[in-house]
Amino acid sequence: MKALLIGLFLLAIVMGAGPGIHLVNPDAADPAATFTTFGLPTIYVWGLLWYVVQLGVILVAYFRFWTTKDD
Amino acid sequence: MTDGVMSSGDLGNTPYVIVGTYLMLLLALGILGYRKRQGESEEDYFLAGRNQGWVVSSLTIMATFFSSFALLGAPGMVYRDGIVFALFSLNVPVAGVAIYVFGSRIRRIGRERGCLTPADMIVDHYGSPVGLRLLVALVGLLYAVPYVVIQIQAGGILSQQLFPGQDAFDTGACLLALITMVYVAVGGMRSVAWTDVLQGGLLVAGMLLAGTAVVAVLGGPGPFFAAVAKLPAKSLSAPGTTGRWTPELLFTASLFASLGSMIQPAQWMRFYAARSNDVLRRSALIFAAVLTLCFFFGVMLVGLGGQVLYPLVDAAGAYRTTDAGAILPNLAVGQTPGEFDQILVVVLKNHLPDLLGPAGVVLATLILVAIMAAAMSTADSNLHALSALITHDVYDQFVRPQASQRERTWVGRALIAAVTVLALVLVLVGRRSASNPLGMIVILGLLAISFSTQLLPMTVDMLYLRRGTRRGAIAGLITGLLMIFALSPFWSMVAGETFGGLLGSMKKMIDIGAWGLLFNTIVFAAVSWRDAHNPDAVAGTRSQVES
Repeated sequence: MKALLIGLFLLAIVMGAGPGIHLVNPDAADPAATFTTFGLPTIYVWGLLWYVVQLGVILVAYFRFWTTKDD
Repeated sequence: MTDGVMSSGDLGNTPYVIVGTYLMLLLALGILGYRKRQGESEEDYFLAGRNQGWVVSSLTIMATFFSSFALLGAPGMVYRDGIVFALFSLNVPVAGVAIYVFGSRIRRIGRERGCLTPADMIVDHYGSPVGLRLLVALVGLLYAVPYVVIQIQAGGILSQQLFPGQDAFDTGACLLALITMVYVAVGGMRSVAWTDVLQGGLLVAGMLLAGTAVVAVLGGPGPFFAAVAKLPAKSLSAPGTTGRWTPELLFTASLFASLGSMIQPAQWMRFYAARSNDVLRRSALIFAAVLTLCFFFGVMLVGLGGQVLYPLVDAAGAYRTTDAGAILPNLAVGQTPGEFDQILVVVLKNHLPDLLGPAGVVLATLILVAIMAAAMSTADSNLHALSALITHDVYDQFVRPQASQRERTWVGRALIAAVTVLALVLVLVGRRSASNPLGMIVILGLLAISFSTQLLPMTVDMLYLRRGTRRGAIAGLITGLLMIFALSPFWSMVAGETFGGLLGSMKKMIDIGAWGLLFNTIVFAAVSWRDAHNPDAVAGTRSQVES
């Protein structure tokens, strides 16, 4: 479970603000390119999606793995 | 700068009242922090007795992290380069995780060994009382000075927009520097943390209100995003208007900016100051959840709305540029490439009063005070940390080891005054030079962070791996710092165009902090590996923790 969370978090970092952007990045030079998804800029939606993933991982880690003990 | 363009003072007397009240509150909290001190010890002055609860800790960590970089720099960068920079927000959850992952161990070890500064723990681990201590203190200096400079500069920018008059920039920068200096010097960490609570609350509210205000100015979410969708194609795609933010550069900048920001001296000392592990655990969650939202739904929308209200292109779709080809902001925002950072202030000041009347004036002023809060809360934390580094790591160790606790805290106070004056002079001199070398906030901020990022390999090794050696740590850190220097604007000042082509290509590929980190890590690992396989050389260089 821990490894899965770490993997998912790393994936979210690489996809959200990293090379994963290439998957959705519209080509500015292409006149036929679409720049929005659901009425919002596609890149913005992409960022929000990966933020949700990151936050989900943090919430699970907070309640299941992050200890409150001082040692 | 935009003197005469935006300094009409049309917010009336409201800014005087609100800013005056805010500054008086800060001074009162500074004095209260002084009165609540528990003796004249370094531990009390620099770490507030290691007894901070989760509310104070989470807000002071937030306030230290969020500076004018967040409230002026980030919207300015989105205004210039478009939506791609909004993805920089994703560095915040990474920083949140670092609060727990690094912070909890730093807190525990720091408490066990009575550490006061980052160098205490690193020196204790690697056993290099002189070289490594001075190097780590140097990293702190290289991080903190530019960061304090940025905040004072932001005070000037704000003042220029809030108050009429030719000297508004200088007056604002001086006032922000003076008041910050007074309450930090008087009350130490306790005052810094308490003022950060006020400032942290203000900046969170300010970020969200700023985003909401800009959306409202454009008629609500529907019309706002409809207008955004019509922006130039470069504003809605990577690598952005200037072509700077390739996904690879953005990735390394946001990843290492978050980690570098969390192991910079002021945050490191906040981990020491936390009362318990649970304090850091809660702080991490609040940080990751709340602050990312503030970015995504707050200040990043300001930059986009700014492009709608103050377009970068003319009717023919052409960008306004300097002779050198650098893109310029709309004339109503600024006249030089460094003035994109003013977009938030310009939007608020020009549109909120029209939209909401007197309530808009108050709201605009409150958000502008939030920017001031962001600047002051980061300046105070860095001034305080810098004072601790020089007092504890240099003065106590090498100048007057026999100094009393009282003398040490007074030296710390004197240093705060000296560094404030130095930073203020840099801002005022930089502003008067033909080409302001301080430039845009984000660029200078990322340079500062790239220095603190160089502590990452030894921090990870010290807290988790425990395989590095003293010589490896020193060699790696020196290599990383030299790499940053070679890739920074300072290189061309010293060496002209030597290796200019190669260095220019490297800067376009990934963030300069990442380059430094890469070479730093390779050298650290190689030297440590060599030491591990050479028993004669390794004597005395292994971790003290292991033994």
